[in-house]
Order: sequence, then C-alpha cells, then structure tokens
Amino acid sequence: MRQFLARRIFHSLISLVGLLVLVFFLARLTGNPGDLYLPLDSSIETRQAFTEKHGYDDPAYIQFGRYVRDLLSGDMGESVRKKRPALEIVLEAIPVTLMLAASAMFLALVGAVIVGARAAYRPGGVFDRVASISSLVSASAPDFWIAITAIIVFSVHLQWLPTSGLGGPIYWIMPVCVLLIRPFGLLVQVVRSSMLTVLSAAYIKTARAKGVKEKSIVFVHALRNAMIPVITVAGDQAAAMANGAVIVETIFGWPGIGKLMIDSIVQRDFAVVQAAILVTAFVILSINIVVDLTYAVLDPRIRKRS
Amino acid sequence: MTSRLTESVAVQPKVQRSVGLWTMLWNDKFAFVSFLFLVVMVFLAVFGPWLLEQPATKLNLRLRNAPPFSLDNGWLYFLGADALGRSMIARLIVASQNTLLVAASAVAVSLIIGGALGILAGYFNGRFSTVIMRFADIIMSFPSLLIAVVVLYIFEPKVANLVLVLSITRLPVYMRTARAEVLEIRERQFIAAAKTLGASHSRLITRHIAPLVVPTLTTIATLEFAFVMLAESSLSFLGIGIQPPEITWGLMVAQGRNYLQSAWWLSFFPGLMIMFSALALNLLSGWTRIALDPVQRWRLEITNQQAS
Repeated sequence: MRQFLARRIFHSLISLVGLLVLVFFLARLTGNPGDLYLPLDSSIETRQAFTEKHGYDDPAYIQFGRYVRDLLSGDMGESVRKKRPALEIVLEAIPVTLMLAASAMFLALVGAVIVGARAAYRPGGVFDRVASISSLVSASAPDFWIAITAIIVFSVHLQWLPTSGLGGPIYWIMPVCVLLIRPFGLLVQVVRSSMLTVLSAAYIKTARAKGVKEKSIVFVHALRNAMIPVITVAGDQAAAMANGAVIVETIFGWPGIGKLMIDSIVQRDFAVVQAAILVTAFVILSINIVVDLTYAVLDPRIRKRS
Repeated sequence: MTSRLTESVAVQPKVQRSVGLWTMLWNDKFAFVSFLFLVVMVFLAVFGPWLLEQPATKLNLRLRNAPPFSLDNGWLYFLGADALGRSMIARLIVASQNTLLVAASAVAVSLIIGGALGILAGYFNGRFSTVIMRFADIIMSFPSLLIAVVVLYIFEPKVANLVLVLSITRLPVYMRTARAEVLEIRERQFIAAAKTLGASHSRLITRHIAPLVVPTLTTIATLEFAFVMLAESSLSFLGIGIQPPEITWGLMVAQGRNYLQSAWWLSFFPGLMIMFSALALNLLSGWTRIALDPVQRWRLEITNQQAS
C-alpha cells in the first residue's frame, strides 16, 4: 500500500515537473518576458529595468535554475496588477473554486448514482429511456449557454435568483447547478452501464435467492462493485470541473481561480497566470492520488496487487 | 434482461448476414435524425456562407434586435436580427462554417498524430512508450481549457493556433486507445505469421495493425468532435478563441450576452445550435460503436427483423 502511494506520488511529481518546464519555456519562447509580465503600455525604461532586475538577459538554463529556486522558496513572482505576491492571490481564490467544484461534484455523484441505478434496474423501461436521453442531452449542453439561459429565465424574467456575485445560499444555486450538468450526464451513463454488468453477476442472484431485500441488493451489494468505474470517471472529471469553473466563475462573477485566470490574462498579469496554473495542477494531481486511494479502499484486489 | 438475451440469441441465426448500414441507420430513429441533421449542417456549412454572405453582413438599423418567430420581414429574419439588424439565420449559417471547420481540423490533427504516436508506442513497447505515455499523463492531468488559455495568451489567438492547441489537449485520448489496442493486437497469431514471413516493421504497422485500430479511433473521433466543438465554443465565448469579425456560435453567444435583458434570442439560438450538433454527434457515435462492432451488431439487426 505504501509502495503504491509512493509510486503514484512519484508519477505526479514527474507530471508537475513536466508542466513546470513547459510553462517556463513557453513563456521564454516568446522573446522578452517583459512583454508577458508587464502591461502592454509600460514604457521602454520600465521594461529595461524589469529585464535587468530579474536577469532575463542570462542564458535560459541559468534562468530556469533561478526560477526553480524561487519556486521552492514559495516565490512565484509579483502581480503587476495588485502589487502583491502572485501565490498569495492564487491561494485566496482556490477555496472558492474548491467549494464550488466539491458541492457540484457531490450533488452530481449522488444524483447520478440514484438515477443511474434506477435506470439499470429495468433496462429498456420508461425510466431508463428517459434517463438515457436526458443524460445525453445534459452531457452535450454547452455550460456557458446553460448559464446564460438560466440567467435569462430565473434572474431576468422570473427574478427568483441573483444574476451574479457571492453571498448566501441563494447565490450558490445557479453556479452549482450549471457546473454539475455535464458531469451529471456523463456519470449517469457510467453508473448505468456499470450497474447493468454488476446486476447480472451470479452473486446478485445468490443474494436474491437468499431473500435479501431488493433495495439492499441494489444499493449495498451491487453498488459497491459498480462504483469503481464511476470513481475513475469522477476523478477524470476533476480536470473538467476546473474547465467548467472557469466558465461559471466568469459568468457569475465568482472570485475563484477560473475568474482570476481569465482576468489576469485579459490584463496581462503573467505572474498570476503562472502561479494559478501550477497551483491548479497541484490540486488536480492531489485529487487524482486520493481517487487512486479510493480504489484501494473499494477493491481489495488492487490493494494486494501493489 | 436474461430472457431478452436468450430470445435474441435464438433469433440471431435467422437474421440475414448482410443487413445494410443504411437499413440499420433507418431503424434507429434517433441515430437517423442525428445523421440527417449533421448532413444538413455540413451542407449549410459548405455552401451557406457562399450564398448568405451578403445578408449575414448587411446592416439594417430598422431591424435592430428584431424579435424572432415573425415572418413580416421575410424568412431570413424568422429567428430575429442582432444588435446591428443582421439576420440571425444568415449569421448562424455563416458561423457554422468556422465552428465545424475548427473542430474538424482539430479532430483530424489529433486523430492522425495521436493515433500514430499511440500505435508506435504500442508496437515498440519500451522506453519510447513510457516517455510517450508520461507525456499523455501531463496533458491529461491539466484542464484542457486552461492549457488553451495559456497558449493563446502567449501566442496570438489565430485560427491555426486555436486548432493546434485544441488538438494537443485531445492527443492523449487517441494515444492511449491506440496503444492499448496495439498491445493486444501484436500478440495475435496473424502478426506472428506475418513476422515469420519476413514482414518489416513498417509493413506490419501499416498493413496489419493500423487497419484494425483505425475503426476504433474513428468512432472516438466522432465523440471527440462534439467535445472539441464545445471547447472551441467555450474559448470563443471567453474571447480568446476566434476573433471578430470572424464568427462562430460560441462567439455569437458571447456577443449576445450584453443584450440578455432586451434580446434573449441573440445568445439563445447559437447555443441551441451548439447543443443540437453535440447531441447529434453523441447519438451517432453511440450508434456507430454498436454498428461497427460485430459482437453487438445484432442489437440493430434484430430491430430490423421485427419491423419487417
């Protein structure tokens, strides 16, 4: 088990280093970093001073060494826009996004398990057909369009919900619902097909023959084994949730990591963009490790294999 | 479930071996409608801009934000007009060309490069394979939209760059599938036979392995097309994809955002087109997966027999 964990962490570190190198060299490829880090209208003198201060006239490998050293001491540069360390700004934004993504993912998972299991229980039935089609529709819906349509309907016409901002529970309804639509559609399909396979297994027949209650067969006996592919897909969705969060936060004006990134990009604040990428990658890789550990909890065979 | 299975197995031998793809398509109504929709879309995307260039760009200030569902101003204005009085229908059709073209090019690029890399990684399973798969892991572990955002920040948001970044973020899908398939195929007897007969690496790959992998990859490509289209729309919506005066559906949704209170149709219809196209692709891809799989194909053939 410990070995398994160590290997996973090692692989994640490789990915992180790869990303680091990629971001660093992409940024240097474009020529003068001053063009990236400084606002477009800054003067030639400012650029000159900036280049000298940060040693951007040194060879690339020396710059890279310095860059890694700074990173390890927690220095990701300073935001041009806010005159504060970039890392600090990013760390303020992360919890908002995590809360948003976690609540959306939780609701999507619970909803998908209930709907998917119900659909798989009677394949080809009315509930199954309705669930299949609507899960396809929700997996195909562009989230930014759903968000805008929801604003038109619920904020502009019905005036039930606020259009944007962060506040009481009422501010959470639309962002969370928009964010969960696509993962929900996808997960329903996965739960359904996984449950179909499991429900036709021999041990389910045994449980039935023993007279176990149907509810407990579906939700205790079958679900536990059906969850492995579901967890895989849910884990892969962690990255997709970050994509969705960019859209949802921009539209609903949430001060999360997605909005921070888009704002920083529009205002050309590269230090923040870079810090945001690395922190997001770190969070996603950590989530992937947690997902892998969940497998081991769910399936003893995986525990043994490592 | 069990009874349906046995019943169909019993019926199976009676079914004619060669039920045409067309008949199978006709039998699955959802797939058929999706297919029809996509054919019309492709037709409009190819010829539409050429026919409707003029009404799509002609300003008509009298018809600014004209509401939809009225034929008073002619059929071109049936879906209303935008803030400059340009016909929504004409603009939607003109925008379809960019939307489909960007998605199609990105899918084609990642299909070819990702497929080739995956096949090679599976065939020469060794250090090369490990490097390739680590590379895929790096791409996969990071949100595609954010990669695209960063690349388009550093480089210009040109169409070529957009296609490139969209295709790079989707490479791992093809790489992983192709590699997994090849790992299984290369252990089969006919590969060993070809090897014994002295076939070279390139001949083995191109004549014996690739033809078996390509159908799977094409099925995935259909699904990916929907995904890439949604990704491109998101980028254009965020303002870092296609730049005006060019238009795509995603950009049209973004442009309509300023008129949410007064003219909802500006954002609504382009988004609806994105959703219908993605849905049609998803449905059709599900059908192709079954129709091209000899093990599952009977599911579609059975319906045919019951219908006749």
